[in-house]
Amino acid sequence: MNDYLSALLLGAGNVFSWPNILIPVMGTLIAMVSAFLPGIGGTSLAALLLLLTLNWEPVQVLLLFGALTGGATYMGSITAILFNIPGNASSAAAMIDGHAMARLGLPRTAIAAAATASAIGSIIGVMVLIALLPIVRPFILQFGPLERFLLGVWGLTTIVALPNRSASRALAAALLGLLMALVGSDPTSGTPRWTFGSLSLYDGFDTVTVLLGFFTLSEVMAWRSRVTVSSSIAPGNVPDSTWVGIRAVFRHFGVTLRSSILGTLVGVIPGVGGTVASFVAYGQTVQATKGDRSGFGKGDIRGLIAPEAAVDAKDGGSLLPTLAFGLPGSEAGVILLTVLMIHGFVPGLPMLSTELAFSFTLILSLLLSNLLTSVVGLSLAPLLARLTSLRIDRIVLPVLVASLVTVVQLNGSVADIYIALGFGILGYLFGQFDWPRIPFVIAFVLGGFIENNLALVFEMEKVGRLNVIERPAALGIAALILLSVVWMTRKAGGNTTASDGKAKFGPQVSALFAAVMAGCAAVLVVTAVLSTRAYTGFALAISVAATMLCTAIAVRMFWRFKIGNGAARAGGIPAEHRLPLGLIAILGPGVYLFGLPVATGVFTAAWFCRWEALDLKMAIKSVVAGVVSLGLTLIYLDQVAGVMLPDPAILSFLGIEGR
Amino acid sequence: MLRLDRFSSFALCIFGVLPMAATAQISDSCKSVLTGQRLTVIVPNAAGGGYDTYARALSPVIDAVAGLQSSVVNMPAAGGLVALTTLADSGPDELVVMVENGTDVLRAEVQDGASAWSERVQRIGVFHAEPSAWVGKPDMDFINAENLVAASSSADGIVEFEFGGQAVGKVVKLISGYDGSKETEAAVLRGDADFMSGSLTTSLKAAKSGDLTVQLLLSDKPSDRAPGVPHIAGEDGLAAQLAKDLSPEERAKRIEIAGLVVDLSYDVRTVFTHSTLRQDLRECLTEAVADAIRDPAFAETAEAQGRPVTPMDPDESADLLASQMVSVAKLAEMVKAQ
Repeated sequence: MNDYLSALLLGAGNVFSWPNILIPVMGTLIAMVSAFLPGIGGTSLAALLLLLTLNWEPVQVLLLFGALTGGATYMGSITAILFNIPGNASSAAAMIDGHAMARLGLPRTAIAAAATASAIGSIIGVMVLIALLPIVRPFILQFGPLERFLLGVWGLTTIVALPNRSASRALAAALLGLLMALVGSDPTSGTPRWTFGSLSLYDGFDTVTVLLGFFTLSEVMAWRSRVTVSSSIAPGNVPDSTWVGIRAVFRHFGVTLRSSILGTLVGVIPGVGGTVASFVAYGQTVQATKGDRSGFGKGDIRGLIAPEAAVDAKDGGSLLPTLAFGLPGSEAGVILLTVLMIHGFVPGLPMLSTELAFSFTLILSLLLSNLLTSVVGLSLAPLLARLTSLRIDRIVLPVLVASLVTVVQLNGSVADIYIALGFGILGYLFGQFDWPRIPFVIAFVLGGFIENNLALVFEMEKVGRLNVIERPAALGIAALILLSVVWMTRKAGGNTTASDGKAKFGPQVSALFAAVMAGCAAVLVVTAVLSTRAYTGFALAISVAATMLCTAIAVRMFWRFKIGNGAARAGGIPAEHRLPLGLIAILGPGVYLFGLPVATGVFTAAWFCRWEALDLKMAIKSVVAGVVSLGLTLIYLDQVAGVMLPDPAILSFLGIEGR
Repeated sequence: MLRLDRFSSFALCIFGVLPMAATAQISDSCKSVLTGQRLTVIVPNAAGGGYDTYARALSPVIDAVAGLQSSVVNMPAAGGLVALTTLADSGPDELVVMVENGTDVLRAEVQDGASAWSERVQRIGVFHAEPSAWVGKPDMDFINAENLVAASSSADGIVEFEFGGQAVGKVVKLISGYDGSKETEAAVLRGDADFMSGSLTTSLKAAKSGDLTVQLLLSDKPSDRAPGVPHIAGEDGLAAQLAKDLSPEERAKRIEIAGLVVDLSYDVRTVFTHSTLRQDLRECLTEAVADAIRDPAFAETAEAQGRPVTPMDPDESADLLASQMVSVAKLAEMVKAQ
């Protein structure tokens, strides 16, 4: 015990001594800036710094990389809260209630709550990490594919807890989300599945691309009808202040504590990661809430605190498998592992015994970094919150360009732009037809994870390497799932609604939308049935279920229209949405034909132009905005992000050689 | 996909850490052709892995040797197929190279014969080649076990495991679908599977902590880097030893299969360019790459990160390629026949 405490003190001394402390501070700032700038991914930055620090002292390197691991996490949440742009996949859960708060006029409260929850989560995560360090190895080995599959299913049960206006539409949305997660390749054989011959789809739809489209672009369409992101007056005259945000975290300390512990435990399991941690914590919070849960999805601060605490707590947990076995839980973990090996650290027992002081150095540097980001977040909250009160037409350009550039640079594939635009339109239609978007997103985010692990479970069973009775962790999680479902089903009656909004259309058009969804799912069923390739039973079952449920919804709506004798409200796309919807719809072909910079420029010019009051001044202003947008995009893509874009198709149509 | 050209140059200047002064210089005629041109270095994996490390170590050295402005681009989509397609489809004036395992490109050719990768891309430098190895837990009795379970991220591994198993008289079943090499390593540690395969460098790293050990070298000779570890092929290999009581035909067959498995699994760290590149550019690029991979600055940076560099001369790499092509074709026929 004395050795353990000495190592802890030695580690703390390494971090908090002068001038060592400058290194984690610098690392945190670098990570924060890079997380905010599209074009410099965290992993690439870490890879570059790895080269630059080859000659550093081992302790200095641990300090820098501990800080890099923790620095970027919180920043992704800021863009998620303010503009519905997820900085990374794990900030998706924070968008649900975080951005809703910003729209309600509480951006400052949301940023402050997120920062405080992150800090508390991080502290709890590190405390649990320090406590578990000596006994963690057997614990980590308990979590294989079966346990991870069950954990994913537990996250999925969140959907049952979410209040919805229509259970059938929520289930259909979840099935469609799962179906989209299955596009790509069969996890065991690698055989392409529902890719229709496109190489760009072999790895499936990228999570951040889909989230950017489904939430951000669909949001942009609705933005044109508003002056600012935030409404000027918060509901019930709740003041928007940093202090309210900080206090909320302590007022709901049970939520913070539970989510932090959950996040840490999920982080300990190699290969799970922040996305699952955030959704499991979100779902668990919704499930455990007593009384009215109708605010979730509409700006309930508990829905923001839970994922934020979990994601930052996960950072601490995810160091455990890296230190104890050399098993990284993320891409950043891969770099960290390389760093350890280069500088002579051997992950495994030595990091938990003879090198324990170095492990603590890394852990405490991570903690310091997480706390620093929270302090910076809190200090900047008033300034950042002001962004939401800027005129929407002043921020739409950077939001749009940042979204499109982010999408392209994620995987270096211009096809991701088309995917984002497609999901943007789908997200918009979900909102217009009152189909809940959250079940779709939860199912999409967790679908691949669940199927991959389920496939491994079957593989293990096939070769005789699975004995459920000998897996206490699996049995424990299965019991939790069962209890959650029973608990939620019994409480579900009291729920009102968390749908995104009331349907803007009458049942006849809504029936048509459901029929289109059913038709799309049916195409996938037919493709699977007719294909000679291996489509798993899971994939086939999901596609059939989605088809059947969407068909049933379409029939029911059509029936309602019929017995209503066609008297139902016809509705329609709001006039102010038609231009952005049209622009988004033609942006895809525009990018294909003329390239991303030109398409962005034309889009911006068309967006700026108020067609109803078009005069020379307006026209010049719009053209200038378009040219600026084109120039900035071009310079950014070519010189900063260095994205390799294909030549515009128009060049080959005209017989002109590109580049 | 990301190029950190300006950013990395800036950072390198600020930190001034990398040994940037390349000792080798290409011919003046090539220097005049290449100086100031942009070179894209494609890595078919995510940032942070072994090949990414090599590419980022090589990129500034090529710049110093040839006056190029290179940038590293990660294209991990579709298991590297997008990277390969992008390289092969590059225009005649586009200076693009890819840093990849040459054996993987051969395998892609066998699996997708229609794409004729060996005609569409060309090897212009091999900076390291090493055998793969099978890694398991220390308590695994590899010699005496009859049935084994292997773990892999891809189902393609079945050929190596199945035929490798046949060569040493064992039945090997496969659990595939793990997310990358580290997840596969975790599967072996948990006991989901008995062993996994990886390059010798990766395997030695996995074994460093003592939780895993290198059980078998997929080579026809022992390695100084893994003393005491049996090798599979050759007359003194494990396949031959375990088949000593069998008929000469069966023994010969097993030895032959072991040799094929060695070729199939060899890790050949290669720089490729595309066949459509203008001839003068290709010749100069080949010269620049050849000089860069022999430059001590490249070796120092890569080796400091635990990535060995042993450049092969063109004849040696051509022989290796020819041998691999024959072996991969033979194995493909055997797979079809099964």
